[in-house]
Amino acid sequence: MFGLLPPGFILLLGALVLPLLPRSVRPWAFLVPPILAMAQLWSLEVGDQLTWSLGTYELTLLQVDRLANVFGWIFALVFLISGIYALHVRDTGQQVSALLYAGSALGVVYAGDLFTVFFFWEIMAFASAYLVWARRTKEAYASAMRYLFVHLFGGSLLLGGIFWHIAETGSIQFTHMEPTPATWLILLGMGLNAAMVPFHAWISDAYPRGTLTGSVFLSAFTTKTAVYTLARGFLGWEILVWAGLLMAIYGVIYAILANDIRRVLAYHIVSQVGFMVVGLGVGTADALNGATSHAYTHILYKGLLFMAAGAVIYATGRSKMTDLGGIFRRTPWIFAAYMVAALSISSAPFFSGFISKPMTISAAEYASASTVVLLMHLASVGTFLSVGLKVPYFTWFGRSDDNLDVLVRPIPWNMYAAMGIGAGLNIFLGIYPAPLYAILPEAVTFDPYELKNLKKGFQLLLFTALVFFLLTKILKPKAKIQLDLDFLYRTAARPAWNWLVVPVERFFAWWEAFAWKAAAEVARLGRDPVALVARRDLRPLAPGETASTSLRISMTWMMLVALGFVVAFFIVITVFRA
Amino acid sequence: MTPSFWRLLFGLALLGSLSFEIIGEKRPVEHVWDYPLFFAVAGALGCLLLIVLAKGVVSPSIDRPEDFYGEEDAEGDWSRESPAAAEEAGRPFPPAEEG
Repeated sequence: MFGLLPPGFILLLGALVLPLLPRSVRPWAFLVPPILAMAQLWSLEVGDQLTWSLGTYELTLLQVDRLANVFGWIFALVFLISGIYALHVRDTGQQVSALLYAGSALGVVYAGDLFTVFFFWEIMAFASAYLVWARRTKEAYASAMRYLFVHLFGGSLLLGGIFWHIAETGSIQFTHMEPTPATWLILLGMGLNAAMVPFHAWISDAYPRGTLTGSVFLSAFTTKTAVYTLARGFLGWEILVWAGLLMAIYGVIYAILANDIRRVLAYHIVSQVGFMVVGLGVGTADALNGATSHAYTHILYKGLLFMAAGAVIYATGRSKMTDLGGIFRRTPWIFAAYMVAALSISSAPFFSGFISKPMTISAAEYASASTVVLLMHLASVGTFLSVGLKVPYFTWFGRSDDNLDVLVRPIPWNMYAAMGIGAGLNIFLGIYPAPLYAILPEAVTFDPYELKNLKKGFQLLLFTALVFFLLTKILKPKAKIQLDLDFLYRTAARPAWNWLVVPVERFFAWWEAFAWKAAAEVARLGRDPVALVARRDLRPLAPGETASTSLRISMTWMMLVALGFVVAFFIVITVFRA
Repeated sequence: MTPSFWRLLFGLALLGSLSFEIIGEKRPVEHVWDYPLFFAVAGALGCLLLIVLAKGVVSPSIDRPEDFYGEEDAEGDWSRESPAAAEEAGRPFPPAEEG
């Protein structure tokens, strides 16, 4: 449609044009770039390439293959749905940064070389931080700053790794990598964006504090772009299996404890991305399909979860389960949308997660140790327990039928529309996965609706639910926060400030005070130089006070002495010339 | 619909999920998950294990008060403000818009 224009550039151009349009049409104009990007995706073909010479390097701005297309399509699609969800927002800053953010995510997906990847990687960090900032609360400001610094740290690891890698291989192409110290650095940089434990704490810190619409965008792009880059560069690295398992279990445990509904969802990004990372570590064709399709469905249902959670917060002004409960009668449709997403993430049969997560686990059954498979099932149980049971129970029910302490105001129609589309897509894919299976990187051999898969799906979830209903009281959320690894840099901030910044600041403050004082002394001496000679106490002259008599006498003496020197000088010169 | 109706429905669903053990072909046991009823037991025990682990082991050591990192901000929370106070301060209630 636009020749070989990379699809991400359409969104980036949109970010330039949007602020020039009249304010009232901006939310609607916001929906145009993703539609154009989809049209462009439609017309691009596998193998298309666009290169650009920069100095001695040949940058690959566009490189189309099947793996990139899966991510390209879902990014454009979820951006469109999230745009509908945000139609009521009149904040150009958020609209522009969302366009920049998604545009650079698409930029990474279609980049063929490491420099282009890094360039868009950094734009993503700044643009996404703004979506947290834009909440404009004190906590959101601080959280966005931490988010930004953590990502800049990750970006530095990435850039260091890229330079090292280029120095070693001489190639800037972004292809599959062999383990060297340089590629390990790249892996760490990308792993940070995938929220790999222990580099994950930014996600549970920032995502619950983003704007209601901004967090929907956040949930889709950063981690999944990282999953894509891991698939491209690190497929089959054994370490990813264990890193992914750690993420899957770690996220689930924290999600069971968290009180803020969006924090529960954020921890489940860690957990679900863990499944994808395991799949990439397993590295077979089926596992790659599993990880990719899981990224696809995950973006759909996680977006919907954040939309429903945002709708609850919009309607009630509350985000913690301890403050909610008893609002089902007044928000039944938000609940319905939430449950579709929650059943999808739990991979309940007939919902979208069911066609992707079991594919990953089944691939691991063939290619990995039994422990891996069992731990993945354990993480699945935890997912259903916290997102599928605990959050809905304590948010919508939990207390009396109608908890009138919680006020509920109506939410905009566009939020309902977006959630409706999201829910529809999750159910559609769950029942009819063929359109997704057709675009996966490898040929699909997995059939989710085999009896054994249905058995797994139903038994695992229903018996999890049984235990939940028996132990509901124990799971009651507490008005507490849970320490996570952000503890390290949040508590280190004050000592670091005290040891590193304060001494420097004190030194300069002292030096500045000293310089001013010295200048003042010099000025005072200038007005009363004889004081030095007369050994009087220096004192400033009062306004209007003239020099004292003794000063006048001393000045006369000084003039005489000076005159004597001049005369002596001339005598000496004359004598010596002769 | 009464709670007992939902309980009955849930019980039937549990039984229904167990019926998968009877229908379908029998598979040779290669892995631990090929045993009959494995996923029912795994669901229940896994859930129990996670609850014990999270609430019993992890939670006591990492739970902190909400103001642990300084004052928890309530600026985004309009629901605690009374409508009268909002009117007095000249703010619309509920707030007109939040992005």
